[in-house]
Amino acid sequence: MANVISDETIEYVGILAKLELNAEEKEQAKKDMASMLDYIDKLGELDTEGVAPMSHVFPVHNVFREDVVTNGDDRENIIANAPESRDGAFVVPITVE
Amino acid sequence: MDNILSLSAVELGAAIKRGEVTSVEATRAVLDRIAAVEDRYHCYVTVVEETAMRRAAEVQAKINSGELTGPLAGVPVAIKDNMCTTGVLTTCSSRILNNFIPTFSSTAVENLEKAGAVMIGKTNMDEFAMGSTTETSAYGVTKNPWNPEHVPGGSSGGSAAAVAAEECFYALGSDTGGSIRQPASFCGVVGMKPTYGTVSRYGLIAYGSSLDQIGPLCKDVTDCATILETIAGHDPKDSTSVKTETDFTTALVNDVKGLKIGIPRDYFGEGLDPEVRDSVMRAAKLLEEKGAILEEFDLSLVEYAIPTYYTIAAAEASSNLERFDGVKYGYRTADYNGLHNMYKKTRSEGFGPEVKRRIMLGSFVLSSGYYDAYYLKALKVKALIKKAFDDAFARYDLIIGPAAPTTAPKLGQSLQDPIKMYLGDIYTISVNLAGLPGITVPCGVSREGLPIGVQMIGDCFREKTLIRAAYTYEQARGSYVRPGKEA
Repeated sequence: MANVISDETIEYVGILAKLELNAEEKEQAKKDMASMLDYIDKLGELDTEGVAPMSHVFPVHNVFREDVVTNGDDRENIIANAPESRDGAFVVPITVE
Repeated sequence: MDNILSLSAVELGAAIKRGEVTSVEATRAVLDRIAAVEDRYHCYVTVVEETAMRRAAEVQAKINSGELTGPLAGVPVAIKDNMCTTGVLTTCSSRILNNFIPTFSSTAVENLEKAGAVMIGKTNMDEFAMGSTTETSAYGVTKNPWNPEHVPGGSSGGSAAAVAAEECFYALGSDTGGSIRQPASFCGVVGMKPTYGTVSRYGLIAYGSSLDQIGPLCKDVTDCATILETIAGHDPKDSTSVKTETDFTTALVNDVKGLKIGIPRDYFGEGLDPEVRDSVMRAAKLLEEKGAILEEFDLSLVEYAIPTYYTIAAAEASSNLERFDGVKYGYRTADYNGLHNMYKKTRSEGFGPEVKRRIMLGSFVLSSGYYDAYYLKALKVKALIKKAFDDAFARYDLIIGPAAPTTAPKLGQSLQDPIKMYLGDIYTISVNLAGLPGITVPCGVSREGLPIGVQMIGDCFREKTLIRAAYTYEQARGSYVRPGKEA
């Protein structure tokens, strides 16, 4: 049941993952993903009919709190981490033409 | 005092309290040790010498005035570089965070600081905690202090190696699939992953959020219980953190009479190094001599844990790592053409190969058309694995086995074959899937001179049972040689 990853799939996953792979990396990614999926296919041996998927090991559900501001103004330090900033704001490439 | 570095964290804290040594002297001693051996082992990404010395003086003043009285007051600590620390570079050992200075500290670090800890630096790790050797770090490879030709394990390899090399008195690590327990085993130190929810994950840079948990790496079980007691507790900033008892040091009791210990046959089969098997079995027998009841059993589903884990962890990672986009912090590519190209180039240049591999896999298993077959299937198998542990803990107080199938591999051997590397996580990974606590305690040294660790696994929120068994074992085992001695 060897998986074969097509160029289209790698292209599509690259879009989802927001990663740009060069030709060599793409070939490697196809190989890596196929062998991982071959390995993960082992889960198909188990009958999970009627088993509820478990996302959390404890029965915790939504945890609510009052929406109250507790942090102060730390703009200067936060902006100091920005790759590019101007007038206390983040600078990003043009997003809307 | 001339043997400061060989003290455990709790021993040092007591010596400081008695006035035999000051926090400033201890911090200086550790910084001198780092200066002497860091070239050889490379445990740290960042060392904050000046801040640490200043902080040690402040803490010592508070100890003198009686304001700080806890067991860890004045003791220098190292923090894994995936925990945010106010004003101190936090890289996750990734290029994409090469200049990130957090404006807040993780709750675990804050709890230590409230108790008078002196942070001396940030330890090296596998990039974004993805790896088992600390070789995927963008900032160089950490070496095993027992033999620098070998890896320290991972992903908390810098933390484990720093404790073993006496470059700190204790460290914090994080464990998503074994990242505390496996390097503890490889470096001959004690390491514990608490039950999911015991320690707040606030400020821990997320990898697999449903699996990640912070825990101690340290010299002995007493330190382990003391550190855990200090960092644990419910935190409103982490909605998955749990209100639970945290008086772990009360479990430092030398007694396992009547304790029922299960030995999973499936943890002692093919692939396990005979030397590791013998050493771990000797540890189990020692507990039996102390009055515990040993019984072999079949845990089942062990071979399904790794594919389940890598599906879930990759899925969560692909989602968690979407935030690294070159906008608000971290690395941004130099040349780009528009927003999407900026994202793609930034991420492609900022992430290393193992991180990209997992983001790609995670994006795939979550994509429409494959979600049910892979991600949902893995969540169902996770439920089965949890049930297998529930059945085991209906019969046993704890489970004992190896932490890793082998001793530390040589540098450069593991990354060529990812699946082979992932197989090394077989004994640790299901503990994360089931949310359980696990502890590694050194139990032997191989003929080659590398440490071996025994892993004990408890039921959820049964840390105290683990600590009692680990402490009793440690007392029966006697002293354990540390590699720093002759270096």
